[in-house]
Order: sequence, then structure tokens, then C-alpha cells
Amino acid sequence: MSRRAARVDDAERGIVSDFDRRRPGVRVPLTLAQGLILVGLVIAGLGPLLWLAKAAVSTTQDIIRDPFGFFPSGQILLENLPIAWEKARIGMFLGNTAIIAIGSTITTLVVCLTAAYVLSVLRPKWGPLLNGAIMATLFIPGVIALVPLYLTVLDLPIFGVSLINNYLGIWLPASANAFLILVVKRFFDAIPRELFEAARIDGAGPLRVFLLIVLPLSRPIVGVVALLTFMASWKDFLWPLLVLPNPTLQPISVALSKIADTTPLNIQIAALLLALLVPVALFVVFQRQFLAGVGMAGGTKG
Amino acid sequence: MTTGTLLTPSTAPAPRRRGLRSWYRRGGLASIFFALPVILVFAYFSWGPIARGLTMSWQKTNLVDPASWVGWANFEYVLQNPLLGQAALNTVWFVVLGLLIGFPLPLFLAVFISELRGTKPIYSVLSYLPVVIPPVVAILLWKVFYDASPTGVFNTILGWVGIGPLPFLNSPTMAMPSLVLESTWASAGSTVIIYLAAMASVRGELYEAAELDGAGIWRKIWSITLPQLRGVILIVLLLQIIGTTQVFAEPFLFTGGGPNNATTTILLLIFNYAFVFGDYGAASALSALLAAVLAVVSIVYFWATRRWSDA
Amino acid sequence: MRKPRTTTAPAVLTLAVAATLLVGCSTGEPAVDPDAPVTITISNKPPAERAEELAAFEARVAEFEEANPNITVEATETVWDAQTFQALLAGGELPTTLVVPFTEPQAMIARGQVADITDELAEVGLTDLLNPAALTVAQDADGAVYGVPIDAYALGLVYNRALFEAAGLDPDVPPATWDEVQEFAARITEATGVAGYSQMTTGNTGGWMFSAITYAHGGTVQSADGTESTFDDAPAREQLERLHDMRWNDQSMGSNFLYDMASISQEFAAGRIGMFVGAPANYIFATLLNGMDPAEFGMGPMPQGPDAGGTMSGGAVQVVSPDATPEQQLAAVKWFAFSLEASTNEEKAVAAAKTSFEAGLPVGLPGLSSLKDDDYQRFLGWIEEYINVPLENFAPYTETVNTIELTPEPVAKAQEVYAALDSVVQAVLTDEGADIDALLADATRNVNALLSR
Repeated sequence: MSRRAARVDDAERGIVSDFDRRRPGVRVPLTLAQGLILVGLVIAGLGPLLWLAKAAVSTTQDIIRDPFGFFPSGQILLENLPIAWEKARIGMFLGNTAIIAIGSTITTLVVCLTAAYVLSVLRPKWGPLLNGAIMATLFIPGVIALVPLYLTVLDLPIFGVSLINNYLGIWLPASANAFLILVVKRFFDAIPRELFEAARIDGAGPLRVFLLIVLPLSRPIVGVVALLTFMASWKDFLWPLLVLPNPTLQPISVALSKIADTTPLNIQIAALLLALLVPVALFVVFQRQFLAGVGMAGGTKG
Repeated sequence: MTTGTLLTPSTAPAPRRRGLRSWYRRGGLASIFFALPVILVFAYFSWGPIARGLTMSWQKTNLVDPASWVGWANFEYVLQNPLLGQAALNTVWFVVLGLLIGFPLPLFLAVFISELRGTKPIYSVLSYLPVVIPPVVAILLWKVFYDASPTGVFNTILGWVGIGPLPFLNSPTMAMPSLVLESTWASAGSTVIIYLAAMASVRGELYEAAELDGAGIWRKIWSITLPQLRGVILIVLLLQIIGTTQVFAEPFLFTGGGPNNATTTILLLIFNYAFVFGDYGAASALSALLAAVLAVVSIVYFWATRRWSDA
Repeated sequence: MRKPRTTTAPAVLTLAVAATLLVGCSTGEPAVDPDAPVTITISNKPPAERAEELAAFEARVAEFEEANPNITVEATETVWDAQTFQALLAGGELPTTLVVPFTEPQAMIARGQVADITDELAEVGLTDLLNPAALTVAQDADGAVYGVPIDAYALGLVYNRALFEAAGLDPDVPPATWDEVQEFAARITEATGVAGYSQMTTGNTGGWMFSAITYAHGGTVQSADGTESTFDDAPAREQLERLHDMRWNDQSMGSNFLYDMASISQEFAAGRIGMFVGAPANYIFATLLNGMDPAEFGMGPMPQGPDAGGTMSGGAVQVVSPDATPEQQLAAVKWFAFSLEASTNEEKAVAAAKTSFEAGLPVGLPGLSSLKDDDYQRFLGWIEEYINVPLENFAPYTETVNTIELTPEPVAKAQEVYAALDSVVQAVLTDEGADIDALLADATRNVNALLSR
């Protein structure tokens, strides 16, 4: 069969086969679509960041009088950036934000991986009950749990400690993420059961299966969970404001909101730009590894 | 997919003996051990606070003195608010619009991006960038875009193709679609990433087999890709419905619920009860009602799609 | 009864038990020892980014502690915010003192969320010092006082002097009546194309503006006892019809109508609004945050309707947490008195003005002082050399601010009332066929249902 000849790697192919690609009827629309979508995505995705960069070094009057002009007053205020850095102590706040984000990602991964393992692989009799209880939390508007959650963090039942001004007060509640548990469970559901059969026959217990089979296969989904958690944690504002009254512990989102009422608009935007550079840069770097992980999921394709 | 689990393989007859020993050997302890993190975390930081919050729906409290029980008074109060009907309608409208615009788009993008050779990262990164931007900034930007005067950004662009200046946020009919557009832009990226991860697990041989049967590209997408992704798609759809029902940031930051309550959603009502009017009892009551409605919707959803979802 | 709990905050604040939570109870308590050691937490400490202000603040705290050796003061950066307030209150984590906007005290008094400090004020001698008119915002029906106003102001008309000139209007003569407002707005739009007049409409500011302008037309929004709505009559109808006229016939209100305090200031600073009803604080929003040229900023008194009724007052109030012990309440009130010395003591006034001036903040912004008028004038004289606000631009406003009739905000559920009225104003501005009578009738019904809850 000529279509199947000279195939390098089965696992890498998608909907469009190599043969398809060589046909002009496919190649032309595909390239055209690629171009159009690229332009669309650049405008929609990159555009706002470019605007922010421009606004960060403009005068405030320029920003509000002529948002899309190119420095109409002729002034390019590069000094906005160092001013924002010092005034808003961006460095310290970025560090705090990173600590919070990394910690939240770790706790979330621990909770999600173990929970999905139980629900998808171990499947005890009470599994569906646990599943239901977890999913039910998706329906409740978070706002009504805000005050009770705060009261809980203030005085943890049984342990009797307060998690105020303690990063655990952010990391632990962040890990109670029903949506991500669902995502990971779905992923585990797709692991062929034969692998577990084989392991059981070899005499492996649940712990070994988890460590030696499930975890190594989880790379793609770990990437997804880590990314989503990291981003959500970076943007989180209200909860850190409540739980971390000590200013030296606060993340950048809280800090930025505090300077809103006393700082000119262009400095605010400069501070915002500095605050954004880290997640964007991290994402760009992380994105390559993430996609590589997705491509390497050859083990599950059998 | 075999029906066995890790612990009770389908090939061996399951022993019917009860008793602690057999439970232990069947790996019961392992289940508890692995479930401990999620149970503890949820008990303290999810179920506990939710239960506490919901109890408040039957109470009247000023958050200083101990609360007093008022039976169904909060629920009555919430239900007789003439704004509730409008808010419910607006919320449904947002969900419908959100699904129309925001559901096919990430799917299409994901399918497209997964087919790219070598340039995948650029497209993924660009799709995801809007997600990285904090809502406050995003909405500030879009507010500028939506300036209703003829010199506003969108109006200028529309002017090039001869469409008159549109009022966008200042019109009761256009306000909601405007919000949905921004909301889709801000969140599509996450969904694209999830679909991409799921698509990676679609096996190549399926496409091979389809090609042998003479299937073209669209046929392959329709008959293989989508069915394979069915599980993920259904879950994402449900979660999108649940998520958009709780929309808050866009109405709050764009229009404050206006013009003339055209963008007031249920969550905005709850927020106002809790934090502007200081009526925590009413806020909890409305939240409880919303949760009940969503639960019913989910049950109906699962029942209606049971033929299509994975085991 | 709440169990006492210790917190991990530096200040060891043991919280009170039920006895001190009773609102309005001012007799029958054991005598408070004014010299007993006590610790209070105060709010609104400037963050580290505002170094000069922080230094000045800490110097004042040190001075206060020296003058009152039994009082220890812990300062926090906590500021009032609707969401965090509820959580902090429930958790008993409120600082002893807090600064809240004018719109809050009445609601907080009704819900028992602030402490009654009438006795403490008398003890410290503040009741004599303060302007009685200023105190009404934090008083309940029986005259008990729950807070000390600071930064009070009266609403007036903010306008762009440059746009006035461009339209051939005298920038020193703002419109005094609403007829003139309509006329000037039309002229500004004709000459420059921008909105001649604009109004805040979202986030409860719509109702706020509506109420203030109703006052200016001689009407009221709520009965004195807070049980009934009174806005469904001629003054309200007049202003809404004029608004409708300006929007749809004159087209002098531009094309954007969803504004709150911050966004209207931004639009104004961009030179796209000729006039709007606002407060002196808009000067800070426009110049400091949005780079407007101070020379273009003008402010006049609230334009009056045919049955002139004055204007509405606003500002901030210092209140005391309901969890504070009697000793803490006394200490807190002493702190309030001490803060006021920045206006009554020449040396402190000059020092404070100098610090603000050097930090680039506006000094001398007009407003309503909580002091009696002579004391206020004396204060202005002391800090004259540091005043960086163009006071001459505010002249039309300051000339009348102390004599114009002032009405405070509605007593009961002001925020809910405003929210209900937001949509009335928005409807008039976005729906040409809006039926004003029906809108007012609906709103009255809704608000009355609210008031009876």
C-alpha cells in the first residue's frame, strides 16, 4: 500500500496523512488556513501585550486621549519601568508570587494525582460517592464559601492553628480543585487496563503501580495541571488579600491593586507589564516541553 | 475496556468473603491511603465551608453577633425580587451565547493546531496568551475597544466596511454579546490546551483504517477525531455550562450589570447581596438555589448523554 | 457568645465578649479607667511604596504613644473594602479603627457593625470641637454618634475650563441652574464635538447622582424615618426629562453612558467630557492618576433646579470596631482627636502639608471641614505656602460650599436604593422610548419592598 510506505513513526500521525499533505487540494487550503489563523491569533493573542508594552512607556494623557496612536506626544518614557519596579517593589512581589504559585502547583498535583488514581484505577466501592461529592462542588458559587473558608483558615478545626500570614493558607485551599481532578481522572481512564493487569500478575501492589506505571505515563497531564494551576494562582487576588495581611508576603496581584489609587495610569500599566513578563516568559519556555511531553505519550498508544 | 479494576481483575472470580483481612488483601487500605489527601483537603477547604455557607441561608446574621434562624425568610426574599427573573434570563442568555461562540472555537483550533508540523508551539502559545492576562487588564483593554463613539477602535474598523458606529456596551441588546466575545477570547486558550492533550491520545491506526476505506479529511474528523474525543468534549461542555452560569467578572467590571440591568447575572446579584448590601443570608439562599438548579441541569445532562459517554 | 481567640498578628488583641456588642447602650457600663494599659490597631497605614507618607505616619504614631504612655498602637495597611470587610468582621479581625466611606455608616449602624462612641467623644472633648452638621452622617435616630467624619465634601459641578473657552464660555462662570447646564452642554458639543455633559451611572453611582440632583431640585429620595421612597414626584421627573432631552434631542451627552467615579474622571482627563456632577476628589483622579493639566480643572457649586434644594454631602468616616473593649474605644477616640490636631495645631499642620507637598500629593483640596469654619480658615492660612491645588479654579465652589444647604444620604439602605435607581437613569440614557413615569413607579415599588425587609 503506497500510503503506508516509508512511514517513520505511526504514533506521530494525525488526521491528515503525509499523502494528503502532498495533494494540492489539501496543501493549499491548509497553508491558507494556517496563514489566516496565524494572523488572527497574533492580533488576538499578541496584540494586547504589544499594546500594554506601548502604554507602559507612554504618558498617561497619551494613553487616554489616543489609545492607538503611536506616541502622539512624542514622549517615550522608558523610565516608567524602573520607577514601577522600585515604587511597587516588583522584585519582592514577583518572588512571593512564584513561591505561592509553585507551592499551589505541588499541592494540587499531589491531590489530583492521588484522587484520580483512586477514582479511575483503584475504584473502591465508595468511589462513585467520592466522585459525586467532589463534582458537586463545581455547582456551588464560590462566593458563599468565601467567609466560611476564611473562618476555617483563621482557626483550623481540630488542629486549632491559624493559617493567616502562612503560605499554607493559600496552597491548601488551592488544591481542592474539582475540575482538575476530573481532567486527570479522564486521562487515567484512557490508560489501557491491560497495563494494570500485567502489573498485577507480576505481583505489583497499588503503590508500585502508581509510582512505576501511572506517574511516568502522566507527564502530559501533569504539564496541563501544572500550567493551569500556576496561571490561576498568579492571577488570584481576593484570597491572598484576605489571608496574607502582611505586606512582605503578598503576591503581585495584591500589590498592584494597592497602587491603583495613588499612582498615575502609565506607571500602573508599567508595573502590570513587568508583572506579566514572568508568566508569559515561563509559559513560552514551558510550552515547548509540554508539547514534547504530549508527543512522547507513545506509551499509551499501544 | 475491560471491566476489571487494578485490584479485582475481571478474569478471576471475585471472592465474596467479607471481613477485615479480605478487605485488606483486596487493597482496601491502599484506596484509603491514596484518597486521604483529597478527602482531607476537600473536607477542610471545600465541603466544610460550603456546608457552613449554606447553613447561613436559613439564618440572619450581621457577622458580629451569633446568627439567628429565620427559616425560609431569606429564600422568600430572594424569590420575590423582581430583578431575579431578569438576572436568570440574562444568565441563560450568556450561557447560550457563550456556547454558540465559545464552544466550537477551541475545538476547531485544537483540531487545526494538532495537525501542524513544527509550528505547533507558536499557535498554542498565541492561543493561550489571552488566558495569561489578568481579567482586570483584559477588560480594561476591551472597554477601550468598545468605545461607542465613532472614533472608538472597533467602530473605526467597522467604519472601514461601512457599518455605522455601534453602541456596544451602551445598548441593552448589544451589551451581553459584547461581554461574551471578550469572555470567549479570555478563556478559549485553556480549553484548546485540554483538547490538544486529549487529541494526542487518539491512535494513528484509526486514521489509517479510515483512509483505507477512502475517507477524506472532514470525514476523518467527523467519524474518528470527534467520537474519540467525545468523553472530553461532553465533560468540557458541561463544565462550560456550569462555569458560564456563574459569570461575574465581565458584568461586574464592564457594565456593573447595566445598561438597565441588561447584563445583571445571578452571580452579580449574589455578590451585591453579600458585599454591597451586607445581607449574607440572602446571598447564601440565592447560591443554594443556583446550586440546586445546576445540580438538576447536570443530572438531566448526564441522563441525556449517557448513550454517548464512555463507560 | 464568641470565644476569645488569640491571633497571630503582632498585636495581641483579645476580643471582647457580648457585653460590648450592644449597640446604643451607653449607660450601666462599669467606669473605664483612662490610664489602663491598652493596645489598639489602626488602619490605613501608608504602604512602603509611599515612603514619605509612611515616615510621617509613623512619626505621628510615635508622638501619640509618647503623649499617651498607656496606649500601644499597632498600625496595619488594612483599608475598608466591601468584600474583605465582611470576612474580617466575621473573623473578628477588624482593626480597632477603620475609615469607611460616607455611604456606609448608616447601614453599619443598623446592622450593629460599629461601636457607639458618644460618651468617649464627650470625654475627650471632641463633641465641642466638631461641626455638628458634619456629625449627622454617623448618628442614629437618637443622636448617638458612631464615627468622626474626615474628608467631608459637598457634591458640585466639575467642568473642563479649556473646553469652556473653546465653546466661548467664561471659564470662571460655571452654570448655576440646570437650564444653563443644558445650554452650556449644547454649546460645548457644537463647538468641540465632545460630550458637553456626562453623568455617573454604574455601581450605585447612578442612584447617588440621581439623589443628589433630586435634592438640587428641592426633592427628597426617602422619608426621614427611612420607611418610604419619596422620589416619584416632580423634582425627579424634571431631571430625568431634561436628561432625556440632552441625550436624545441635543445629543450633548456623547455616546458612552456607563461611568463610575474612576472611569468618568479618566474620560474627563482625556478632554472628552465638558461637565459632570462630582466631588473635589475627582481632582485627584483626574490630575494625579490620569495626567490632566490642573489648569484645566474647574469646579463650581451644584446647579440648582427651580426649587433650589442644595446638594448632597459625602466623605469618609472614622469608626470603631464593634468588638473593641471600652478601654480600646476610648483609646481609639483619643487617636481620632490626635489626628485632628493636624488641623488645629499650627506646627503639625505645616509639617503634614510639607510632607504631602513633597510626596507630590494635592495639598489644600477644598472640602467640608469637620471643624467649625473659623478654625478651618485659620488652618488654611497656616499651610498656604504648600497649597499646590489651583484654588482659584475652585472659587465658584468654595464660595458657596459653607452656605449651601446640605442634605446627607438616605438613611435606610442607601446602597440598595442607589442600585435600584441606577437602572432608571441608565434606561433614560440608553432607551429613547423609556417611559419615565413607569420607571419611577417601578423603582418606587421595588425600593419600598426593600425598605420593609
